[in-house]
Amino acid sequence: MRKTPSLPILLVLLFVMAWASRAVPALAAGESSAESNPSGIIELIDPQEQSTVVGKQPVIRFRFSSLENVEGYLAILDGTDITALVRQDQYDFIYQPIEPLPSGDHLLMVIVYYADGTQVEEQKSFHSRHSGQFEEAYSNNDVGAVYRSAVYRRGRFEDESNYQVTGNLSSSSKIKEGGFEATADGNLWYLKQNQPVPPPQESGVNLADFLLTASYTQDDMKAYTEVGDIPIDLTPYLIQGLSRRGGAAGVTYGDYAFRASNTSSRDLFGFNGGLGLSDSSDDSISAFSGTADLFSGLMNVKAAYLTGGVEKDSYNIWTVDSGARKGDAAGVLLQSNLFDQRLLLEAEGGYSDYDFNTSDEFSSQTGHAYRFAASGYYEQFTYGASYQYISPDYEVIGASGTVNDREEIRANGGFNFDNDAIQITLARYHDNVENDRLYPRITYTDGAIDYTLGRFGNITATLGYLRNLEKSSHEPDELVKVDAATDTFTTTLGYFKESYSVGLSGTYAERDDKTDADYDSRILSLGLTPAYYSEWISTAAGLNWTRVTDETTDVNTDTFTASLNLNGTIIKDKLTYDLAGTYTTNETSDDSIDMVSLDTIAKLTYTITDDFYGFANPSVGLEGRYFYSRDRLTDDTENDAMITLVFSTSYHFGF
Amino acid sequence: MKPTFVISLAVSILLGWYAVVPAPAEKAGSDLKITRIVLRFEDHDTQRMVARRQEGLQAFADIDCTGSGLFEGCWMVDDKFFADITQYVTGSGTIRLASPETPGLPTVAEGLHIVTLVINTPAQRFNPTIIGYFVTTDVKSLGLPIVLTDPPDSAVVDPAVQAFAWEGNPAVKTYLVEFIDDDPDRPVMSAFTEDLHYKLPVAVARYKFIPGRTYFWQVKGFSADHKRVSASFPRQFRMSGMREIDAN
Repeated sequence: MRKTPSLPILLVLLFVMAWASRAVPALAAGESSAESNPSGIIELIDPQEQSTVVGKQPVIRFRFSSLENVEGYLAILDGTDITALVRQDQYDFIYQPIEPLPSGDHLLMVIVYYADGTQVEEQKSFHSRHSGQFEEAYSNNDVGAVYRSAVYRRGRFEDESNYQVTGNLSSSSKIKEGGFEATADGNLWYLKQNQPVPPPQESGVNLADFLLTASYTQDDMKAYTEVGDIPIDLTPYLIQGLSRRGGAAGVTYGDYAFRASNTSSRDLFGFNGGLGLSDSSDDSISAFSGTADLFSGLMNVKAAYLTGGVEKDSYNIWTVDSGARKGDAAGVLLQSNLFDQRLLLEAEGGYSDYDFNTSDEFSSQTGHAYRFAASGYYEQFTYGASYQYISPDYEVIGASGTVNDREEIRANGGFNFDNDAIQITLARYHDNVENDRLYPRITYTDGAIDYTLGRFGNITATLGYLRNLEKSSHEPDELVKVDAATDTFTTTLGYFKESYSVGLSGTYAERDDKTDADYDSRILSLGLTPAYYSEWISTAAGLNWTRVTDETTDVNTDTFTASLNLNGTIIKDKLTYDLAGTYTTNETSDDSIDMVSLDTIAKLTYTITDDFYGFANPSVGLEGRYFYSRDRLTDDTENDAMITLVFSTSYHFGF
Repeated sequence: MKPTFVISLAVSILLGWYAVVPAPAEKAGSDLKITRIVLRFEDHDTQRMVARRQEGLQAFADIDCTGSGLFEGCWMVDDKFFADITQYVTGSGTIRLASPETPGLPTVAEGLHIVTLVINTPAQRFNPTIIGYFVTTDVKSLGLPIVLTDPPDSAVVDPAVQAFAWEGNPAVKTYLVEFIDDDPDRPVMSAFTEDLHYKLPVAVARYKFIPGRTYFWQVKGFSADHKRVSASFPRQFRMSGMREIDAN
């Protein structure tokens, strides 16, 4: 049975509630609690008041008209309390910024506290530019180069290159003048070796990522364009958090925004695929979105549409139906923030038209999805509830993690106390929402309780319990039934103290198959992660032991992993060391598997000088790698080693 | 939504989870099947450049699946075992796997490193998926994060009495405390200090912060030569009503 979302009703409801919540008295943002603002309490000497200073980190100097009865003061520059860094030089108070000041208008606010308990506040403004030509202009470029030459190889390392040249360039540049702003960011790497490079990497220069932007801002209007690796963020039912190479353009005007983009539907590696822009819908995604903030931000409306296709998966993606696909999708998202986050209402609808395989004889299929959610807090209580329906054929091109064929209701509530918090979540959902008699319907019921303790200073602890029930109904005879319960208990304990930390974790989970097959199993996992950092030695380790028990066969499979990262300094700024490794054992109680392996790398690096004609930290190092594995059942042993001489340096240029 | 669905949920909540579990059925099933794998780094990129000795680098996998069951696999770096993955997957949908944060992916050797995910259970045929990270010659000087101590995460804070405190870091000379509303690049308020604690001036707190609203705070560390060398993880707090006391 198809369901019709009641969006018009919800819209009216949201409108009424948003209007009602405007009656809440305006909060005190922007109001100053300081006393009167007489002029002449302080004098801005450098730069002079309302003047323009050229420089990225200009010295700021001010002076009190009188220090009589002054007990203290507070200096705030652009919202940052700089009092602790202001030094006094006789009658002058001087601040040297430790980070570049952004260009533009600046406000220095000084609150003076007098011995009689009164306080006065005074504000001084000035303007800064990074250079005479541009309000803001910088270019930071870092180049690194490494040459490696093998001096000893054994075993599997004989298949590796006996030399390798690698390099990298990271660049970030920006210019800004008036309302115009342009940025260019990118990363390149270079790889050359005498063995083939596994695809999609290529020998030579590879483009890791880049982004070029240009924008123009005037009053409430901003127009912009982007080319490179750009984000695609539409609505949860369409695409969120996707990054692809292509181009985008948009405009914002006050509370309204519009954005259009055209990107490759695949992740592009290196220079393959160029800019990612394409006029073919077979292997690109075109997306359009518009947003509006209504009622002073109390309500936000976003509408989006995308169309495109995927000819084949990216190198980082595998899909069970990896043929060529095409599709269109549209969605609307309404969000309302009422009573200052005490009540957040959300409604979303999505519609899709998707062809799962453009090469077969079947045409595209349409699907739809909608959800309603409410969340918020009252005092220390937080709450949330949602309902969603997603039809079986709802699918969005390019999206990852699209759940379909689901009807779900979910609720959560929690208390945040001063030192601890508890959260309870309940959910129930099922598939086969259209009651297709060819398939069973599986209903899932989840209940979870999580407790966080932060009561004992540096110690934090969490306890969690999750119970999941799944049960099928309306099973056709030829299909198996489902009836199982999974319980998962988790706990973590963390201790932090100055430069060291210890983390403990434990998980116990068991799955009870209530059918005649009675395929029960359980997992027990324990972890320990100590870490210590200092100037001379830094280490982070991980110990993890996991046992999986198949209760049907009564066989245990144990995996133990010990990982270590250790590095530090032997002679300050001259001689450093690194050691990293992973030790693993894997065995079963029926003696079908019994493996052990060790993979380590150690490095000693000597920095010849900190500066050689502009090249930073030219260094020579000796790197050793060792790999050992043994099948204890067959006694097959691998014992591989490699020693490499490494030369490296870096170079920074910019303005 | 069907009334029976709501009633069923309500009954299951009221009577306890066991109440909705029926008697054992005749056959077993609900095998876990994977329909899609996406490998990525944290910011959804698939190629990343990182400094040598960078701690905490993680790889992620978003896996779409149907059914339920045991998931077993491992992370591989440069064709060598890195970390084990064993967990149950229940209730069809997308699971998100992450490689361990401590220790993170190895960053000792400069150059390109390839991360892959090997899945042993469920037994399916997958085409290989990869992502890569390139370790540059830059050296992460210290991986030591700044450890926040007070107030605890998600606490309700009265700025008139509560100081924000953290552990010392040997590489840091100056700390920058940032109080963030919704835009991490535009803190509501921030402060430089060389102490290990900071108390919001009431005069400022009163007009910069809204009682009842949730904020984040974090601390960044600068070395004596003004390089940013460390940072804390952010913590959340909710601003309580502000007491009428004299500032400072």
